[in-house]
Amino acid sequence: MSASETIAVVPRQSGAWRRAVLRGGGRLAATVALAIIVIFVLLAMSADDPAAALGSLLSGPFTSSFRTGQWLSDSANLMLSGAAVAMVFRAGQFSLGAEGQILVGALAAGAAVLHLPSFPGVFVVGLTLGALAGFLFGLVPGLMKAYGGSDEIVSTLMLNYVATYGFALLINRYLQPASAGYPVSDFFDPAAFLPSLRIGQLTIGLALPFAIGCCVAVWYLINWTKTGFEMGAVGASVPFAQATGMRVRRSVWLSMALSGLIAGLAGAVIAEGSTHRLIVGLSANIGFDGILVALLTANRPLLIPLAAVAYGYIRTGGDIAQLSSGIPREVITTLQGFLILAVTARAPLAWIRHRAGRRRPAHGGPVIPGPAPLRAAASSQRTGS
Amino acid sequence: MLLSTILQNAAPYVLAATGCLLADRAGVVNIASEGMMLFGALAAVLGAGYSGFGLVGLLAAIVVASLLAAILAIFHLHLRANLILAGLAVNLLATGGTVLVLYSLTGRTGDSSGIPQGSLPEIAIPGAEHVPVLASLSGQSIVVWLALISLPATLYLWHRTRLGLYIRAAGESESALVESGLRPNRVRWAALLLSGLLCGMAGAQLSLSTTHGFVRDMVAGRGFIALGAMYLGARTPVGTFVAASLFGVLDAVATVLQVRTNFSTQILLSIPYVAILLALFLNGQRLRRVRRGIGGVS
Amino acid sequence: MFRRRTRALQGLGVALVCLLSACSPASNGSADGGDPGKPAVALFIPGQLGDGGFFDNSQTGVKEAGVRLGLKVRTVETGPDPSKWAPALNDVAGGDDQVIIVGTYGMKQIVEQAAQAHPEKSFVLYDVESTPAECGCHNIYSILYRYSESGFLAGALAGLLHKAGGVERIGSGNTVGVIGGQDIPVIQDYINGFKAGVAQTNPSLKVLSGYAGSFADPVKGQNLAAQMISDGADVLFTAAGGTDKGVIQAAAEHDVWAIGNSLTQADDPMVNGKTAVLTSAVTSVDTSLADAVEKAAAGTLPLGTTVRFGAKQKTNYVAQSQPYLKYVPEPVRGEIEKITTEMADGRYDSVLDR
Repeated sequence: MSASETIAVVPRQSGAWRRAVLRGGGRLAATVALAIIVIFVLLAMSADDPAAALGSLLSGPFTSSFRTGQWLSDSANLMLSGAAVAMVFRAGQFSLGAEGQILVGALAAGAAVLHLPSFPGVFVVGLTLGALAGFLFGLVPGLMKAYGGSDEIVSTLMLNYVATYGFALLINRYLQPASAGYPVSDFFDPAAFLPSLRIGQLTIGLALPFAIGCCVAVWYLINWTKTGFEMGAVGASVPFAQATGMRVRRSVWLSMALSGLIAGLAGAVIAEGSTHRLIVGLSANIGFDGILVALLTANRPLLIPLAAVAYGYIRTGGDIAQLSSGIPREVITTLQGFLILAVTARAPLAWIRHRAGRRRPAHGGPVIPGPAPLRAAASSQRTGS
Repeated sequence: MLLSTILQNAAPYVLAATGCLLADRAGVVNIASEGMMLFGALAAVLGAGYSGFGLVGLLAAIVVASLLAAILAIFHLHLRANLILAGLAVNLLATGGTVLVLYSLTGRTGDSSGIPQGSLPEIAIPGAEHVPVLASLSGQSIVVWLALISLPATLYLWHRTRLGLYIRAAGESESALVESGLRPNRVRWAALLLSGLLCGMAGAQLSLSTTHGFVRDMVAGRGFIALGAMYLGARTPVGTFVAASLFGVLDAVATVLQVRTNFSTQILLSIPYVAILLALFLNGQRLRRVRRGIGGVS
Repeated sequence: MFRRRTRALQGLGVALVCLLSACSPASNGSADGGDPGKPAVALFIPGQLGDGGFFDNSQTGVKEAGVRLGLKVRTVETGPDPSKWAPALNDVAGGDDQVIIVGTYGMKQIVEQAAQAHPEKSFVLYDVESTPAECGCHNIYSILYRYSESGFLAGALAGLLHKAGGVERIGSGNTVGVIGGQDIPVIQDYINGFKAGVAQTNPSLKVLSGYAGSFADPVKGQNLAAQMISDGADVLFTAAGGTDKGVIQAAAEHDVWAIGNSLTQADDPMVNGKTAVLTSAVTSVDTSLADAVEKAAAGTLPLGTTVRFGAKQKTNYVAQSQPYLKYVPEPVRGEIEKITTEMADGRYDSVLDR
C-alpha cells in the first residue's frame, strides 16, 4: 500500500475522523487567515491601493465571465500537468520531466495541424500526436531507468533542457514565418482550435472536462487495473514487488511513458486551446506547477481537479490584481512561494509534542534510498495530518 | 580553452553540488539550491557593494542562503511540509524576493546597476605566472580556492568526523541514530545549513567574481544542474566533485564551439545536457550497484 | 498553547518573507492623477520588465511622455507565459484606457483581434507591422525599428577603430566580436548589421559572433566574451539584455572595448573603476513611443500607418559618451557621423534590409 493511501485510511477510525476534520478545518482557517495577512503586508508595501489590490486578487476570477473562463482554462492545463505528475509519482518514479514533455507534445500537435489540410476535427489528430510524442519522450528516461539504472531525476531534468532547446530550434528552422521577429509559428486554422462550450456568458474550453476525464482515468488505472496495482506496488517497495513476481522494469518504464503521454496531451491542449500557435516559452513552467498540484493532493488523482482549480484561482487572481492594480509581478511569485509553504505546513502539533519531550522521529520511518526524494516526501506526509 | 575559465565555471557547480550532497545524504533533497544560489548572489552584491569589502559580500551570501535553508528546515523538519513542495516554494520566494529587494533598493527590477560594485578577494601565487597550471590558478577568487578545498574537506568530514558519520546515518539508518541517543532532525538541520552555506558561496562567485553585479534570474538553472551533478556522481564526494567539474568543462567546450563554429546555438547549448544523459546511460549499471551498496533498495 | 507557538513560528515565516521583500511603496504601475480630459494610456508588456533593454526602454519612453503631458499612464506586465497574453490584452482593451501600446512580433494577431473588437480604442503596435488589409482594423499605428542600422553603426565603428591605428586598447589583432542574447530574428538583425558595418569599413577584419541563449545570463555572456578575447577580439558589440553585463565585465578584465546598445550603458561605462563601454549603438525605442504618446494626446496618432524608425528619425545613433569623445580619434567620429547621415538618406538600405 502506498504512503498516500495510508492517509486516506487513518481518518476512518472512529473519533479520530471527527478530530481530524476539526483540526484540519481549524488549520485551514488559520492558514487562510494568515495567508491573507501576508498578502496584505506584501501588497501594502508595493501597491498604491492595497485594499483594492487584495480585492481583485481574491475576487478577481469572478468579476467577469471572461475572467472566470480564463481561470477554468488555466485550471484545466494545471490539472493535466498535475495528473501526469501524480501518475508517475504514484509509481515511485521521481520524474521531473513534465515540462519537457509538454513542449514536445505541443510541438508534435502544432507541427501536425500547421501542415495538415484543415478539416473539422483536425484538432483530434493534434491531440493524438501530442500524446504519442509525450509518450515517446517519457519512454526515454523510463527505459534508461528500467534497463540502464539511470537516475530519473537527473535524466528528466536534462531532457527538459533538451526539449526546450529543441523546441526553439525547430520553430526557428521550420515553423516560423519568414518575416517573424520572434520564434513563433502562424496561428493554427480554427478547425484545429480546441472546441469550447458556451454556457450563458461563460465560455468553457473542452479542455476542462477533458482534463477531469484524464484525472479519473489515472485514478482508474492506478486503483482498478493490474498494471496500475503493479505500479503502485513498485512505488511502495521494490523488493516486495520483486518477491511477488511483479514486472518491476515494465512498471518503471510504462509509468514514466504514460506520464509522458498525459503531459504530451497537456502540451497539445495548451497549444490548441490556449496559445493557438507554437511560441517559445509556451510551457511557462506549468510542468513544475503540476508537481505542486500533484503533491498538494498527495498524488491522489481524484483530488487533483480540486487542487488545480484552487491553485488556478490564486494564479488568475494574481494576474488580475496585476492587470487592475499594477502591483509588480514578483509580489505574486513571492506570494505563491509563501502560500505553498503555509498550505503544506502540516504537523505543527506533532512537533510541539516532540519538543515537549515525547521521543518521536520526525520521519515516519527510515528513508529508503532509491527514489529517495519521493520516499522522504511521502514519509513526511504519512505522519502528517 | 582556458583553464581559468573552466575553474571559474566549475566552482559554483562544485560548491552547490557538494551542498546538495550533504543534504541528500542526510535524507533531505535540496531542490532549493537554485533559490539559495540566487538569493546568495544578490546578498553578495549588496553586502560587498554597501560595505566595500568583498568578504562581507561572501559572508552576506552565506548568511542569506543559510537563512533560506533554515526556512526549508523549519517547514520540512518541524512543520512537516512536503520537502519537494517546500523546496520549490523557496525557489519561488527567491525568484520573487530578489527582484522585490532589488526594486526597493534601486527602483529597478532587472539588475543591480546603481549599487556600488564589489569583488571577491583573489588569491595569487607569487611567481606562478609562467608555470602552466599554477598560472591559471593564481589570481582566482577565494571561492574558487574554497571549491578546490571542498573535496578534501568533504572527504575529511565524511570519514574522519562524527558529523559526517551522523549525516550518513541520518540518510541511511535513522533508527541507528535514534538508538544512539541522537536526534536525526538536528543532523538534518546541520546538513541543510551547510548546504545553504555552500550554495551561498556558489552564488557569490557568480555575482562577485565571474561577473560583477546581479541580474534577475542570473543563476539560470545552475542550481538544478548541481543537483543533477550530485546524482550523476553517485551521491559520493569524489563522484560529485568530478561530475560538477565536468559541467564546468562542458560549459567551456560549448562556449568555444559557439565562438569558433557556425553550429546552431540551440544545439551547442544543449551539448552539456546531452553529454550528461549519455554519461548517465553508460554509467547507469555501475551507479545502480553503487546505490545498492549505500544500503537500501534501488 | 501549542497552537500559539506554531502560529508564532509561522509568524516568523511571515516576518522573514517581509524582511526578504522589504519593498518601498513606489509602484511601477498606475501613475495616479492625470488630466481627465486627456486619454489614459496603458503600456502592455507581454513579458517582464527588468530585461535591461527593450521593455525597460519602452516603459521609460511612455512614462516620460505621460508625466510630461499629464496623462494617466499605467504599465501592465503579463509575464512570459504566452497563453496569458490574449486574455490579458482583451481585459485591458475592455477597460478604461483609450490608448493601448503593445510590442513584439508575437503580439501582432492578438492586437489585431483586440483592435477589431474595440474599434473605439487606439492601439500602438511596436516592433512589428500590422496589416490593416488582412484584419480590417484601422485603429492601429505600427512602429518598426531598423535594428540592423544600430548594428551597422557599431560595426563601422569597430572597423574604423582598427583602421585608424594607435587607438588605445586596439591591438594588432585583426578580430572583433559580437554577442547576442537569444538566437531570434531581432537579434540576428543586430548581428548581421554589425557584420555589414565591419565589411563596409574594414573588409579584412574577422568577425566572431555568438549567442548566449538567454537575455539574463551574464555568466554565459562573460564566458563568450572571454573566449572571443582570447581568440584575438579587441572590440565587442553586445545586444543581449541582462547578459550584456557579463560581456562588459570581460571587456574590463581583459582591457578591450565593449560597445553597448543603450544610453544607460553609455552613461555608466565603468566596471570596478575601469572604463569598459566605449559607447553604445542606440536604438531608441523610448523616443519612438514618447512620440506616439505625444501624438495620441494631441489626437494626431496616424492610425492605419506604419513608421520605420531608424537613423532618419534620429532614433538610431552612436552615443556621444565621455569615453567615446576621449578615446575615439576625431576623424573616426567624423566618419561615423557621415555614415549616420548617409544611412538616414537610405544609402545602405541594400545591405541592411533583410
